[in-house]
Amino acid sequence: MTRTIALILLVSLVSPGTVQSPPFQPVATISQIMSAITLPYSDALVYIQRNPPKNDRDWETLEMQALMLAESGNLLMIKDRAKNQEQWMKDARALVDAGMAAAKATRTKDMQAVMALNEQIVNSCVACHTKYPSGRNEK
Amino acid sequence: MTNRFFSAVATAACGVLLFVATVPARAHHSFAAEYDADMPAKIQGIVKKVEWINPHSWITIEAKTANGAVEIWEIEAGAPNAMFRRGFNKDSLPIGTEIIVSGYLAKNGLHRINGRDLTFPDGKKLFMPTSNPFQGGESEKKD
Repeated sequence: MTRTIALILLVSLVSPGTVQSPPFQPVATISQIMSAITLPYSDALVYIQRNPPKNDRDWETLEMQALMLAESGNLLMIKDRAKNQEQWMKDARALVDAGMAAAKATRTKDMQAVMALNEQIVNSCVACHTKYPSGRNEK
Repeated sequence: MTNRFFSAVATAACGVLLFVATVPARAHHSFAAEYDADMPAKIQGIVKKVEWINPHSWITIEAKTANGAVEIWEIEAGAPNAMFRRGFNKDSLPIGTEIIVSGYLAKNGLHRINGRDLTFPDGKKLFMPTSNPFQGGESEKKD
């Protein structure tokens, strides 16, 4: 009897009925995310020598921009934005990784380290745009 | 748009060789986010700085207005490798070279142009591959 009750409890805990979809509600198009977040924040990093950080505050700003660049990759993975669960996710993850690496470099205030990430950041953009050409009407 | 049009025309009237005309607008994500396809421009100036950076190279020029005032303009060009394939090299634009650049004005009103082609003092013209909808520099879909 005890075993039966335990089994029922276990089954109820792992049953699909207990799993709820995340309450995400995409409200911006992918293009809007690119224009408002990914593009300006990636520009701040890939063109760092054009506008080098001059003080701690500038470096903190750059770190936030790198973090937001990474988060924009997460936004692309949300259901209804993700075009598939394979390549799209892999490319979006590459953007997250590039942003995280840049954030790490900004914490050490190492401009050469940020500049060295140019290729990784640009490649994450190019790899995805090559497979998924952009358009203003996409969602 | 009207204010920016008159602003651009006023700049031309000041002597900077800036030409503005109306052309049909087409959509292109990265271009459209920053530049105005309705605001083509042509500017003449002296090269002050060239930055070969991915994903876009930058050329900074100094242009003089009719009253002698100096304006600094930034030209967004293509990726270094794409520029080199079009005939540029790292010695193509020595500081002090006078060039004429055609392209499209930035939407934010900054002295910035998305470059289309560049003319050297000897008349030689080179094409600058960028995210420009009129030249197919990137393979992004137009809608």
